[in-house]
Amino acid sequence: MIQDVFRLIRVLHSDRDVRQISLGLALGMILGLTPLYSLHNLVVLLLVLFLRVNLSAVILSWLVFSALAYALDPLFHRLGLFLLTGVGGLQGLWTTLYNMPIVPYTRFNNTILMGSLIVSLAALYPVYWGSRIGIVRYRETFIERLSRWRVVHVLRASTLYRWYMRYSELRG
Amino acid sequence: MKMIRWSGLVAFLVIVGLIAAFNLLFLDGIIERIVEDRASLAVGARVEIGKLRFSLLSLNAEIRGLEVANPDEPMRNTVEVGALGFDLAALPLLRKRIVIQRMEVTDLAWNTPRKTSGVLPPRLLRKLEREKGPSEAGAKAEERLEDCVLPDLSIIEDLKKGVPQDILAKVDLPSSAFLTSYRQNLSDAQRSWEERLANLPSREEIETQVAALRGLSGKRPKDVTQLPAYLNEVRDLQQRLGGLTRSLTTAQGDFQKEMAALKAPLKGVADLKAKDFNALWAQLGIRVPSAEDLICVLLGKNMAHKVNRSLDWYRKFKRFIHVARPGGGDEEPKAEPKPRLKGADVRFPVIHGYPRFLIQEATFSARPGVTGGADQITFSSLAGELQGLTTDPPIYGKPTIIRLEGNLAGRTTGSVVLSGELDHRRVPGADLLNLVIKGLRLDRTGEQGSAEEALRLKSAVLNVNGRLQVQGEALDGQILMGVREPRVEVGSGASLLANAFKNLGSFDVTLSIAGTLDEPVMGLTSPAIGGLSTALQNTLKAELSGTRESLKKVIDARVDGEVLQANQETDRFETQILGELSSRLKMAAVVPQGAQKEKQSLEKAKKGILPW
Repeated sequence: MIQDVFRLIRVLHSDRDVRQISLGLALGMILGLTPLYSLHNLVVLLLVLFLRVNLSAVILSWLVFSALAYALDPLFHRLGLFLLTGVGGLQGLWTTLYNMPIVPYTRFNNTILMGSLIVSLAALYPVYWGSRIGIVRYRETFIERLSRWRVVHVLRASTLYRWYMRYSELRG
Repeated sequence: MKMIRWSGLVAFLVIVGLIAAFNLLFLDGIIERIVEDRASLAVGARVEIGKLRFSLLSLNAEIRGLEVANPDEPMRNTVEVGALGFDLAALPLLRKRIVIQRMEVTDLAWNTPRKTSGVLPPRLLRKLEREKGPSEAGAKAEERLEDCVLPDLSIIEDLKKGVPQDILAKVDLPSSAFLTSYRQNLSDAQRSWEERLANLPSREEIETQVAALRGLSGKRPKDVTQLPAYLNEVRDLQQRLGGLTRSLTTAQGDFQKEMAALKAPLKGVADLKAKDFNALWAQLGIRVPSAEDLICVLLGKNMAHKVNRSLDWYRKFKRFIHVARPGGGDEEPKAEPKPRLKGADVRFPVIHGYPRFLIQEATFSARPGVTGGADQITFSSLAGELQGLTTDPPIYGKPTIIRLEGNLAGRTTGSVVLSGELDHRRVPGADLLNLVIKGLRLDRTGEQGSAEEALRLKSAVLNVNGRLQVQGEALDGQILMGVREPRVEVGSGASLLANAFKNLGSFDVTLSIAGTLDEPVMGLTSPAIGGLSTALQNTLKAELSGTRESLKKVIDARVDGEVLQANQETDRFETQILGELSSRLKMAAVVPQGAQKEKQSLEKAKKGILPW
């Protein structure tokens, strides 16, 4: 995980496409917030691997949002239960889905899955755009400011940093 | 920048392939675990599978060594299945519906012993507790008939052997308490009257007053002028003596009233004896069993137990039946209990296609000659079929039909037929089960009965004709059991009853079942009850009459003796106090007579006719 953090920092500091990182964070959020062993996560995995998204961002986001999902579990349950049983207008839809082929295997009728999937789908776009803006701002302001810090100069001048850079170059 | 990563697609396919391969490789184990857990939760005891083989290509499965533990007896299996094979329908599986087109169950056996306990592991026990609905938690089978026992008759034997005095010494009798209380009252009265006597005018005081009055006769006035003073003195003395006499007379009256009240209860000696006898009988705990008790212990208890267990299984089975009309009209979406991080699965109505679970056709055959004990039926052959067992009867549209036929092993050519129709297509569901057993030979000749067993049907040929109808929650059923050639073994604790069963011929017992699934009510009737009652009464009358009489005599003698003693003590006390009071009154009574004469002579003197 630490390696992924370093990789992500390196990617943030590089000139890689911001969209790759933010999409990775958004898709990792779906993996993290929703129960892992669900059919929809196969689709997410396909997107993660098929689209050129940053895998470190996906893994980091998945881990962070998994921890968040544990805390939000009761909220997901309540939201899922409300959507599945409390909204009269949706009953026909759920019943039809329940009686369709393949769809029952998605476990859409599970309260936590439904609640977390709805939350993560609703948060997908804001997380994507939020992280995109955040990364651009980070690159424009924070890296510039950081490079001016004396402590960074000292670190960069240190033997340890030189060794690390050489090791990184060797690994490519 | 290109957004597509083609190598990612390959990676995805590899990952999906690996997951699929892993699942296929361990599919048998995964299904086995799921089936074991689900079935264990449904049964409430361990369900174990010896070996499961599932073929994804042909969609068939074979289970060997299936054991279903008995929730009430964890070291026994309710059912053991040697082999079970079934074919699944492919299309319903796409909709997550399990439709077993054909199932073959062979080598069935009941009530077989287990090597390990069948109690659920803690993991499943916790889950079971979570999943239990309130109605299931409150469901209680009718236990009244199942709990029927004979009263302890050994006490009658002990009574016959025992010495009445010893028996009486061990029990608290009302007469003892009464006499203790009586003696206490007598003692209190004695103490109080001794105190009162001390406060009443004493002999010395009376003597002093009498002497003073008598002394006045020697001090008669010499002339008339002294006469008034003399008369005043006489009057004072007379008044004082009168006061003493009155207080003594009042005390005498009080004493007589108190004694009458104290002695009154002693007159009810006859009641006391009867009370003693009743109390003795109650304390000895002698309860004469009724003929209904006898039939209940002999057969009804066992029948009720079997009916209750069957109802338990029926309740478990019914939990899985979802009643909904096609179109989902009357089944509300239902959320199951929610464990942390797993959520709850909401069940929606199945509106078309296949039910969630369906066994279209199943055939059964039992292991020949297998028995789990004397109570169990041994078959030389048993086979049957089941059609349309489903969780969603309205979707399936047909009732469940069950028919099981078999021949009994043993000397008689008996047979068993279990047939039924379970129809839950509409609300309320209507289920009907019929059981006919002909010529079932019960033989426990070589079997040692337990020490507590007072009565045991040692051997008989039984014919059973049972019918149970369940309309929604309401039960209506009747089991008629014909008992031919009965031989009853009477335990050591109830040897007195041996005579009552000596001439017991063939008889019938009817167990009626009513009430609801949660609160069944069972009643037991038998034409044998009348004959048994008479025999029982005669037996007990003969056995108990001598004992009762001798106990009554001892009680009579004991109560009479103690009451006599109490009477004597009372009389002594009464004589003592009354004697003392009378004696004092007598002393005081002498004087007024003398004083009267004195007064008369003084009156004459006043009139000038002085005697001196």
